[in-house]
Amino acid sequence: MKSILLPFSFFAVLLFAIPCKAENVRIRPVLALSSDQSSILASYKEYSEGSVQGAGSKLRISYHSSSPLNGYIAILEGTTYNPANLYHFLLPADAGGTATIDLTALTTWNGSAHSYYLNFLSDADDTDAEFSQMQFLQTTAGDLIGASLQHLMQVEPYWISSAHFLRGYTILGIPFSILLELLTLIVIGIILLRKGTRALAPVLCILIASTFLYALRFDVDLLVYTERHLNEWWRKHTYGEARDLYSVSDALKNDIALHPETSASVNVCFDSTDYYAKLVRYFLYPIPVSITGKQEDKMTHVLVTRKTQWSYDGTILHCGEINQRAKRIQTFNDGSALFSLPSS
Amino acid sequence: MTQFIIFIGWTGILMIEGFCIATLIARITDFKQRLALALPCAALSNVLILFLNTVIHVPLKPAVLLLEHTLVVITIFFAQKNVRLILVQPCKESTTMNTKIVRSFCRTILLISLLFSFSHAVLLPSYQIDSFTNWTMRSKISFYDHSIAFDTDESRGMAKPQYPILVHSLQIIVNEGNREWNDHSANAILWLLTLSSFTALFLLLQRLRGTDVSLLAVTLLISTPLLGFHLAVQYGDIHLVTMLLLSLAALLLWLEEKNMSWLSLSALFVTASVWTKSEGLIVGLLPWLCLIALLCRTSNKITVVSWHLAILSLSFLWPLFLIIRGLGLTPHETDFHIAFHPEGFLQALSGLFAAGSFGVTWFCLACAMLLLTILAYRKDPRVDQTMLLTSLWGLAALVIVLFTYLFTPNVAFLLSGQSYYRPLMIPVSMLILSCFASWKLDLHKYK
Repeated sequence: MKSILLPFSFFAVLLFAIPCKAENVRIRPVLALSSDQSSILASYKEYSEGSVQGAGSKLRISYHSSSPLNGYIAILEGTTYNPANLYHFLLPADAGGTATIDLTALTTWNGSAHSYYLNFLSDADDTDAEFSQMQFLQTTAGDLIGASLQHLMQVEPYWISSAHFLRGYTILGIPFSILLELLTLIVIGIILLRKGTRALAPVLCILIASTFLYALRFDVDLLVYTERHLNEWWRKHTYGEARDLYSVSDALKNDIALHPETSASVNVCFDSTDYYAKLVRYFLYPIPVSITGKQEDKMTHVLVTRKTQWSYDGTILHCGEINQRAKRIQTFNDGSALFSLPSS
Repeated sequence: MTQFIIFIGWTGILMIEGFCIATLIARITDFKQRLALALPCAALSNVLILFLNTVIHVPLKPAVLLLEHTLVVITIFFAQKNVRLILVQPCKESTTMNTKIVRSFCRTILLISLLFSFSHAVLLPSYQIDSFTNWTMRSKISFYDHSIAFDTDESRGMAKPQYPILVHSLQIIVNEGNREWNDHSANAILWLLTLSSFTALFLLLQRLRGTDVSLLAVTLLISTPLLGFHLAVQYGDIHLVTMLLLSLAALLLWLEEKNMSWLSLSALFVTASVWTKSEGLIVGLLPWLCLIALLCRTSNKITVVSWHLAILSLSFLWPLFLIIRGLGLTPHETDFHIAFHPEGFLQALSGLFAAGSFGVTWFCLACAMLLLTILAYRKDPRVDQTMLLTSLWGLAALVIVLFTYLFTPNVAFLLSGQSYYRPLMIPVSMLILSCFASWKLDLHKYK
């Protein structure tokens, strides 16, 4: 059981900007949900969380730690944050130095004062990490312009939820669609005021052009998805959030095929969303796959995937309600592990 | 290799079947139009065959299905042989710099969408969660069962037997003959259906308003973010949208050419929409009937409806079947508790105008519709008032969607983001089509 101690000490510093160059490590956080965080969440031993409040384009952290720290940052909305807007960064081990976190990487950032949620995770059993100071660096006009461009070019996340809705783009916290609509409204307003309804064609053309402008931006992301997903599929046989589960399904089928005399039955042990279990169930059908995570009769295989707390001592597998003798068949890069169970 | 041959074989049979149906129903001579309409038409005949097998308890086996499809092809082939086709001279179009720029731009956008959809729908495996439950999973279970699956407890992976089976039927048929389910075949046939549908839509619109307007309209549709994304997603939503668009396009051609064959084609596709998703009944068939009642002269109404009764009656087979089996028409039991849910109002508004699913499309559409309506009211010759009336269909669909998510417990799906945006693809696409049809644009005037 992980200890929930607060060995760190850090405190919020409201800044009065000190105009100086950022030194040492410059860090640009990335969207946490754009990569698999389960291995980080499974391996941390200690953590500390809190909030800092201030205005600035960068957050300079003075700290020391003999081991790297996984950091998470998000802009608080009231007392909570949107998990879809949580960002991850890595603080390298440092005997005593500073790291400058680029806050403009957060798409909801806009230069005004915010409360930021911060969380640090350490893999060390007894961490010596300490934060001596956190200060915001003043926002410049260049920061605002740079952030605007960065925000517009942030790729729409390709999530499992994307088939239901798309987040869209925000520039300094304002939806890009709203900005474009305002601009379009101004332009067609001017045209209509000057020419009245005689200007039907120009107005409709402006409306079409505005729609295409947004579409062009999204089409860039479609190209990015095409290149990225084909590349990873052909090189690593992984795909998006599913990652190695296609290889897992193939490995399961192959192992089951080695024992045709046995009536196979697979159980998937996982946390949070059942997406991964359902994917495996689909690709394995008609081999029955249970996604209950419970001890069931006649199980021949157990797949552990996206599970933060489980253990295997070489003989006994403990995962959820499953506590059974098992033999590990294969582990995968995404942390999934495949086990076969001895027949009773 | 064998699976590829089986896929090509079944696709060929479906194309021939659909080609004959398009010739019989639409009575058009244009080869490209009939070819493009083939797969959407065959999707309906295919689902009816599998449905018949389900009702009379005939197993879904390759030999049986092959025989049935062959009989259908032969029957329709001989039926359409005696059909008098209507020859229409294609309109001559010239190109200017404006049109060249427009066409180049549109082709670029369409190429990007084609690359994205082909790579994700065909080359990559199934990925979306509903594919592993209500859609491809059900098809796979049905394939191995040799009958349409009606599970209600999700023990095997599916739990919503109320879903109509047009999409599933296509996925099943192209796998018949395989020893094992082929995921790529199942997704490829749906991708081909989408491609055919949009190609057919382009060709129908081209007949109505010329190449440039048609290209603009189709490009605008496909580049609507969520719709473009769904080209690669094998849910029924995109096929419901395309069936309704084809139905509307055929209806527009009926209004323009006064040829009853187009209305028959429109009736066929609205029927197909009911077989694609249950929403097809509420946002498809019912508004279609109301629109026909509005557009037809009093003396014609009964003639028109009775003429198409045979096609339209096919729409009610699936709902009747569900009721007889005691399954209910919707998997959501609380759909009929009506009360206003104010907590969803801002989210609904944001979904239309601020979020990424539709970008600025809804805003621009609203502006365009307002302008066109004002001009139509003033009887401006640049706006075709009759065509603009067809926007009532899209508006009705919008009202129904908003009502469903603001006045029933489905507001929970709006707030969680699980739904609302997908059904909105229907009204946005239909309104775009109606707008383009009602705008008498001549790009050649603007040099």
